Amino acid sequence: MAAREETLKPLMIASQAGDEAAYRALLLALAAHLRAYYKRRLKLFGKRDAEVEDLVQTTLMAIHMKRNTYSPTELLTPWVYAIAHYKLIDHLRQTRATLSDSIDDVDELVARDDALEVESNLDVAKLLAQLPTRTGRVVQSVKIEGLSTREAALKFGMKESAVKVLVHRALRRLSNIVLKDNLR
Amino acid sequence: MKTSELVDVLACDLDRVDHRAVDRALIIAIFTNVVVASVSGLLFLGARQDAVDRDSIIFLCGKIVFASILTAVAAFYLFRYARPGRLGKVPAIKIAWPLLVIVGLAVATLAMTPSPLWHREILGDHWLECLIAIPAFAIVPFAIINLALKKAAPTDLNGTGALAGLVAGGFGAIGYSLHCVDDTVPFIALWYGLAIVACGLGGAALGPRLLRW
Repeated sequence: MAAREETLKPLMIASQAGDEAAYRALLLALAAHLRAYYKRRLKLFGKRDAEVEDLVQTTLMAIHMKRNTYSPTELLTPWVYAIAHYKLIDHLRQTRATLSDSIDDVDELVARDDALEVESNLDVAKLLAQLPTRTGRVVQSVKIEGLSTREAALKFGMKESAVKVLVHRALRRLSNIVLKDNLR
Repeated sequence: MKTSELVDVLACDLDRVDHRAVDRALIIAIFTNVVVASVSGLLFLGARQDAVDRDSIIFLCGKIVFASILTAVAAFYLFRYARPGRLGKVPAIKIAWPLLVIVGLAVATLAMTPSPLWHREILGDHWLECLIAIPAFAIVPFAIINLALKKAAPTDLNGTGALAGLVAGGFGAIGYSLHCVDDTVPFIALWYGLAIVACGLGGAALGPRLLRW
């Protein structure tokens, strides 16, 4: 725990300052911790591996959206676990609420091929389809094809700042969509 | 989507963030509410219209001090509740002690008052107005605090909602105190206390709906 704190905290502080490499390393490390955390807890409920991965991703997204609420004067691990716990409770509440929703879900559960590599139910293409066309294309270029904001700004004939704002808003919106219905 | 892909998406084109943004938003909300509370008290009910004597000034200040302490204590814990991972649940007594102090003072006052006068000491002239005005004046402050909390990440939604309600109720009480002419300690303890507690309970009930993220 102490070793984890010592390596992760500097990464988080660098991430808050906008260091992409540090942030990537941090998120990958956190993903591993979160996976172990959720696996242990979801086992009791007989959940599938994909559900663990859903939760890991939901939590990573929450961490991303709320990364400004980490104060460098505090420890990082309690901050991460408080978020992980919050998302776990949220998840359990939601799944309990939707279990009685429809019997059709059962077929879907049974028919699922668990031999495939574990992926979450999130589908980027489907997600992007929920955005307005132009926004979706901008997000696609910047976040998936890896264009810089300046290149995207040129390509779409927008100001660079406008691209940034658009992408930021779109991500927020996508995250809301995911939080709402990734567990169906 | 694989988790590694998500990490790529999130890390790409990363903005720097300010870890002080939450505190700053809350501080701005609180100072805004000082103005909102005073203006709404003066605008909708008007300043108290009785003689400016020593007693009324003492009571006016007493009410403001009581409400301010209560607000400050709740706000102190609200800053902690606004972020994940800062200590566990705070015992209710640490938050509610200003209420207990005023109730203690009220009991002491009544003990020194002959019982035929209790009725007057407790009910005053405008208890119903007090009971309605304080929560009404708390609505806008509550909305402003919730707006600031959008930047935050509370993990105890009932607790955070309750604190937000108490802070708002405290501001409602400050607003109402500018108009209130009922100058007895039992009146303040009972009616101010009830109104503020109602705000706290309302906040706790609304928390999960308003603060979820």
